[in-house]
Amino acid sequence: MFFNFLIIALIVFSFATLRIITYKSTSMGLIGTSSFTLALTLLLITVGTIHNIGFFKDIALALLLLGIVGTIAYAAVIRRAG
Amino acid sequence: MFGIDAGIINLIQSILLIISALLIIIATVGVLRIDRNLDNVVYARIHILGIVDIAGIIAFIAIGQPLFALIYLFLAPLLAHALANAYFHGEDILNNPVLNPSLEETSEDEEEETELINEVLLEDNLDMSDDSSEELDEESEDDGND
Repeated sequence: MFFNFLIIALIVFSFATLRIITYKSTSMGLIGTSSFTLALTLLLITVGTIHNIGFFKDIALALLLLGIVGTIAYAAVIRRAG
Repeated sequence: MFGIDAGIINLIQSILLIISALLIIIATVGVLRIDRNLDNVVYARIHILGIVDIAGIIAFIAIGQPLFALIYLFLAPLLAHALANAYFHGEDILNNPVLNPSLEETSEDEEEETELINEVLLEDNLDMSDDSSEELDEESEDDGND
């Protein structure tokens, strides 16, 4: 199947998110980090599906939930501090 | 599965994977090429990354992980809204009058100007209506005489 296209796109996208993280403002860092979390989650699930590695799915689930909830919490902190 | 040929399912999965990969590439190019000197560029970047969110949901479905797709479908808009809200209240000097008090002054000045303009227009209207009512009275008197 066409998993390879997705993997290549995700690798390119993860480099773009790293570039976004290096921008000055804190919000851009948060945006880049959340996008990198999504890219890494998708990569883990894709590789786990290709090679039949079961625990990749568990790691991806934890990463997705904790990463996004953490980002939302930090965004709420910035909003109150502002 | 459900009496559908496995070849068709593979075909659908492949099409979904290609679509999601294309969307991710397009969004990547857009995020990197957008002019950083534009006004409100952070909101534009959040908007562009929304495409990647949808591409991720499509990819989750194509890979066969509907739980991930459902979780991310609910979390992605919350995340985008929280980030935009945090930027507005924390760092947005261009739009937030709390962070940039000169914005509030300009808006007050604009309000005063509009009030003055409205008053002048009202007075003009009143004068015109008085003139027109007088003309009407004269016309009605003329009609009565006839």
